[in-house]
Formats: sequence, structure tokens, C-alpha cells
Amino acid sequence: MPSSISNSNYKKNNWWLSWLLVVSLLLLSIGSYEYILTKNGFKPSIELNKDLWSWNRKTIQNNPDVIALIGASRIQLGLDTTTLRKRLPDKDVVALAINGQYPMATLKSLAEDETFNGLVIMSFMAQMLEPQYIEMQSEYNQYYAHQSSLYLSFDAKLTAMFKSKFRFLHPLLGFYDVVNNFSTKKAFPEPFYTSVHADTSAVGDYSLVDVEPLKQHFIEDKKRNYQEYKIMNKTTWLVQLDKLAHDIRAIQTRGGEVVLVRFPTDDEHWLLDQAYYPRAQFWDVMVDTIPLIHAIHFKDDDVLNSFELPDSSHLDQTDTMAFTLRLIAMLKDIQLIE
Amino acid sequence: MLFNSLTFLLFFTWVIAVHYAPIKWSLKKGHLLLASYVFYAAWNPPFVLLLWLSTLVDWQVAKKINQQQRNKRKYWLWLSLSINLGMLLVFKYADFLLANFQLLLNYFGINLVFAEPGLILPMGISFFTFQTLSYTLDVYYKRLKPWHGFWDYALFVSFFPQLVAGPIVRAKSFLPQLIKQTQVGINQFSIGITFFIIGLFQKMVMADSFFAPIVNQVFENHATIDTASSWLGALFFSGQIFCDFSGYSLCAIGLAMCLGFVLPINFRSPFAAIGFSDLWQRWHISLSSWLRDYLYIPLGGNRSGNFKRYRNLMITMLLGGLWHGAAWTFVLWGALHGSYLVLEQLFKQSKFVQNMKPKVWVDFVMWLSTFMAVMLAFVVFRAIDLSQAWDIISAMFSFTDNSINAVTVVKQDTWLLLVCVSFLLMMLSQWMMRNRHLSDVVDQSHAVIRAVFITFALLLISLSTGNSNAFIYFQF
Repeated sequence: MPSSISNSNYKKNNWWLSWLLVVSLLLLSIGSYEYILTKNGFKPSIELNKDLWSWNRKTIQNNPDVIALIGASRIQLGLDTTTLRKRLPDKDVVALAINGQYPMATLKSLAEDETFNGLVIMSFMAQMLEPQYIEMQSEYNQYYAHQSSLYLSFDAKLTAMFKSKFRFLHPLLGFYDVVNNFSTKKAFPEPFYTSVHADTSAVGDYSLVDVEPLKQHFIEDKKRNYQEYKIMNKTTWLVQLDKLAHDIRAIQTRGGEVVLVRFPTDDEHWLLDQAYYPRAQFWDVMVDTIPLIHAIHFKDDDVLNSFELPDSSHLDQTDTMAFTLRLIAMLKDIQLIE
Repeated sequence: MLFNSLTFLLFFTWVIAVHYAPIKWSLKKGHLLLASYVFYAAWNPPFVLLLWLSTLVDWQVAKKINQQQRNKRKYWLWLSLSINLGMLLVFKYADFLLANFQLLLNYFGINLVFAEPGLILPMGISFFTFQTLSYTLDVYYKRLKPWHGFWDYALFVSFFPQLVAGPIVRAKSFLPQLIKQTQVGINQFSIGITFFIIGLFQKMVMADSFFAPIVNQVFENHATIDTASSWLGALFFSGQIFCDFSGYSLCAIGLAMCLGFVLPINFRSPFAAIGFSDLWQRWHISLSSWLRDYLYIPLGGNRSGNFKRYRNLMITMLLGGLWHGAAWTFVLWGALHGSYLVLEQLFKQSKFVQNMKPKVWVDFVMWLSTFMAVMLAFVVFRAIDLSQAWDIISAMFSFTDNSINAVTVVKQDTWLLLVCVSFLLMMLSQWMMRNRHLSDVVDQSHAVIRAVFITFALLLISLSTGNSNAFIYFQF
């Protein structure tokens, strides 16, 4: 009898059994959850933060083969970094775009960084040079310059790589979000139409959303945004262009290059852009004023102008490869890449 | 390096791999020391110099104290106190002291403006300076002989699991553990890992995901807060700070266990305390015992009558409050706890209490009063200034009539219900664990129940990774 008691105690208290069960239960629960999420159209995604951005920013130093992608959501969702890497194997493609923030502060920081001598592809539109938008990305740049550390950046990169493999680690599928969704909508969250990759580039899968209301929302939002302030006058535009030219020249002096790309907006959105920032008064003046500038406008190219933009402002994931290939071809044409 | 980071998991896997490799114990200790410096340097490499300075000074001073006669011993002790407390003064209190000195001058009509030193506070400086000081003080009071090996001593100062947020370890209990390697069995290793997981659960799920967002909302909207929200803010901050700090301590103890070291327990169900003396034997035990042994008792303790006893209690708690940070809110927090302890002593000495027979309802009233007083003090602790603290406390007790402007800050939804349930479960678990050791409970649980609990904790941790912040006690 004593031996049976001791046996049962051993079983009850066996740590090996506990760990075996933990691993099995974890694999089973995470595996099932991951399977359900996959079946329901969820994709892995990460969250861009300052440490991860700082990691990317650090990697572009002292590397003439680097292609830095800067801008906001249009370039983040519009360029397929996998295609870029595949087609340009000698280049190091680094995504520095920040959703919802215009990139002038990043361009300035690259211009002031003596170690940067790569190629910058910048998503550009006239509104970005409005004085109130100039500093939009400066918080990220200040953080990179003064607060980032190798450990924090490395950890952010490692976490991003890990999270980019699993759907259940989606930043919008946290415990709070799921509970909140159940409580308010009595349902599990719907799949999200944008996903951010480990390299901080992103894709938009517009088949997952009702695009018409989204499009109207974007257009209304843009209209409100344009109506909120007075568009800069010609003098301010020229002053701002001078600053832009100065930053571009600084990069060019070190052997680097900058190409400004006007990403597409669809008809209704474009009309709005044209009403507030007419191309002839802004874009064309810029091209004439800065002689060594490389600028690509989507309206000047039939292919770039041919894409349908589901929300009026961003490319769908099915189009990004074609768009990227066309852009590569154009960059080759103007001999910015080989 | 943060425990709640993937880099730390890689780092610890490496440390464990080397620690259990078939190499000499002295090499393993050297590796642990190096790993500890890497751990600290990950945050800000130049500040490792401070750690080295503190280590070297107290190593030399302790040796000198041991070699000298009476008076000279004192000089060496003063040297150690000056350097260690000087470092704290410069890095932690310089801004606060200058700002208050400036205010004082302004009060007397002298308008001088000092530039703010704006120094970065080295992580965990209050912890490692207190640890090295305890070594010197123990040698001074002849409770300890100076240790024979410098590298052992350096590892005692910088041992990474407890380096930046405690528990504050005493040389007497840690250094002997370095003489030879302890064999770690599956039980000890598993309990260590389980402690680490429970610690992470407390930090990432309870503190960061459940309590912190509501607490932040309440304190941000302090000026127009409604009564219910202010109570929730106060209650949940008590939960947040406990889970945050106890979580870190538990992680540290667990990691050390995996490496074969025993660190002192730092929290023992503090919210189940009945009375304030009981509280301080349960909350941040390594600090309260440090303050008792190296401040309260040297001041005279309770040996010279009631007045001096109360005075010593107040001084100890005021300095204990200031140890947490350079702000008047921390001083007031310390003063409140000092007053609580004095009032408790007065209460205990009254004939009414002495004639009272132990009863359940008395314990309940005592527990409730203790918890309420601790919670109110935590409002002061969390507030950025005294007026914010006053706003919250006023709203709690409706001192000011802000019924017109009051805003229901905390949304009453399913999430709030869940957080309330979690808070109640946390309180219940403290009562259930009041006189028990977590290691016993973990080790004696049924293998299946234990596995289910660990899995549940890991799942919630992985679903809460988006909300993690640095541990609150790092700033101290």
C-alpha cells in the first residue's frame, strides 16, 4: 500500500507531466486559434513603434546600396518590398514610412546624417511642405537620435519578426479588443484589411471591407482636412521648396539620391487635390525650380495611372507588385538604379 | 533589459546553457558576472561605471573598516555613505533639491534661476546602492567579515535577476551561496520557471492590461472625475502597483531559483495585512527590513521610550518615502505611513484594545481600515503632484461639489466587469495565501491543475503583449 500511495503522489506532483501538459495544451489552443483565424481571413500583422523604426533607420547608415522608402501610408501600402528585393538583389530596401505622418522631418534627418549616402524614394505631394506638417515625423527622428538603444531596437525587431509569423499575436486581437468586440458587437472582430509586415511595409486587402463607405470616408476626411487651413501662398511654397532642395542637395553631395514620387489618388480624390494644390502651381513649379530633382508623377505614366484605388488613396495588395515593377523600370530609365 | 522581452528570453536561455555546462564553478560565476553587466549595459552602457564604482568603493571600505580601530572605522564608513548616498543625491535628488531651494529663495525675495541638471536616473541605482551599503554596514557593525573573493562580491552587487528592482539582497544570505554550485533539480527549476510565469502574468496581464489603462484614465481626468471612477482608480492603482512590483520580484526570485540561488521573498499577500506593522512585514519586505536594520534600529528603535519610538518611525518612513522618488508626493506617502504606524502603536497601547478579545469582525474591521488607508496613500504615491492627489481624494469622498462638471471617466462595460472580477480574485488569492508560501502551493499542486494554470497564464500573457510597459519600480 505505501508504494501505491507514493506512486499516486508522484503522479499528482510530477513536474514532467505538468510541462508535457503545458506544451500540449499550448500547442493545441494556439494551434486551434491560429487555424480559426486563418480560416476566417486574418493575416499576421505587427505594430510600428519608435524602437522598430529606429532599428530600420540605423541599418541605412554607411551603405550606398540602400533604398530608403519614406512617406506615409501610400508608400507603405503601395510598394511591394518583396518585389523590390527580388528585382534589385544588390540593394538593401529599408521601409521608413510612418502611417498618417508626412515625411519631411525624416528627409531632413537623412540630409543631416553624414553617414547616409543611399537612394531615397519619397512619397511626395505639395501639402507635405505646409509649415504645420514639416515636423510630423520629428518625434520618431528625435527618438532615434536621442533615446533609442541597440537593445530596445533589437528587441523591437525580434518581436516584429516573431509577431509577423502568428495571427493570434495581431496587435488588434489582444484580449481587450476581443472582449470589447464581443461586448459591443456580440461577435468576434472582423479580419483587418491592412497588415503590416516585419519590415514595416504593409498591404491592404480591400476585398475584406465594404469599399464604398471607406472611400467616402477618405474623401470626406480629405475635404475637411483641406478646408481646415489656408493653403500656402506662392512665396511660402518657394521658401519651402528651397529647404527641400537643400536637403536633396545634401544627400546628392554625398553620392546619394532622392526621387520624389507622387502616388496615385483616384478621380474624385485627385480632383480635390487639384482644387487645393493645382499641379501647375505646385508640382510643376517644383520640378522647374529644383533643376537636379528626380520626380515621378503618376499622371505622367499610363501604367502608374491605371490602377484602381479602392479607398481613393491606396493601392490594393493585388496591384502593388505591378506598381512596384513599373516604378523599378522608371527608376532604371532615369538611371537611379541599375 | 526587461524581463518581459524576447531578447531577455534569448539572453536567459544562453545564461542557463552556460550555467549548466560542464565547466568549473569559478568560470560559471565569471560568466554570471559578465552576463549581469551585459544585462545592465543593455539599458545604458556608460552607467555600468556607476555600478563598478559602488562595487569597488564598498569592497575597499569594508576591508579597511575590518582592519582599523574604533574611530578610523567610522571615517571609512562615512566615505562609503558619502559616495553611495552622494551618487543617489546627484542622480536622483539634484533636480528636486535645486527646484525646492529655488522656491525657498524666491520666498525670501531672492530671484535666482538655476539650470536644471537634467541628469538621467540610472536604472535601479537605489537598489544596488542599498545593497552595497548593507555589506559595508554589516562589516561595520561586525555582523559580517569582509568576503574573501572580490569577484564573488561583485556578483553579489550586480546579480542580474534582482539588480534593477530588487529584492534587496543581503551579503550574509547571498555570498555563502557562491561557495559551491547548488544542484538544481527538476522541482526547483520548475518552481523557478513557474514563478517567472506568474510574475509575468502579474505584470503584463494584471498590471499593464487590466489595471493600468483605467488608472491612467482616472488620473489624467482628475479635475473632473466622478466619485465612482475615482474609487476605481484608487483601487486599481493599488492592484497595479502590487502586481507590477510583486511581479518583478517574483520573476527575479524565479530566475535566481533556476540558477540555483535563493533570494528573499519580497511580498507576502500585503493586501491581506491586518494592521500597518503587519503590512510592512508583507510589502516590499527587503526594503522594510533594510530600513529597520540600518535606519530605525541605529536611530534607537523602540528602546528609548514612546516619543523616540514614534519619532524614529516617522523618520524611517519619511526617508523610505523619499527613497521611492524625488517628489513631495513620495514624502507625503512616507509621512502617511509613518503616521499610520504611530497611530497603530497608540491604538494598540490603549486599554480598550488590550482588553479586547480576538474576534473575526475585529480582524475584518482592522483589515478594511488598513487596506483603505494604504489605498489612500497610494493615490498620493501615484499622483504627479499634491493637487492631483487632492482632486482624486476629494472626488472619492465628494469633498468638492463637482457634480455638474463631473465626468464618468471609466466606461461601465464588460471590460470593467472583467477587471473588477480580476481585482476581487487578486484580493481573494491574497487572503488564501496569507499564511502560505507560494513555492509550497506551486510544488504541492496537482500536476494537471498546475499545467492548466500555467497554460492559462501563458495564453493571457501572449494576448496582452501589446500593452506592456517598463516596470514601475525601475524608476526608483
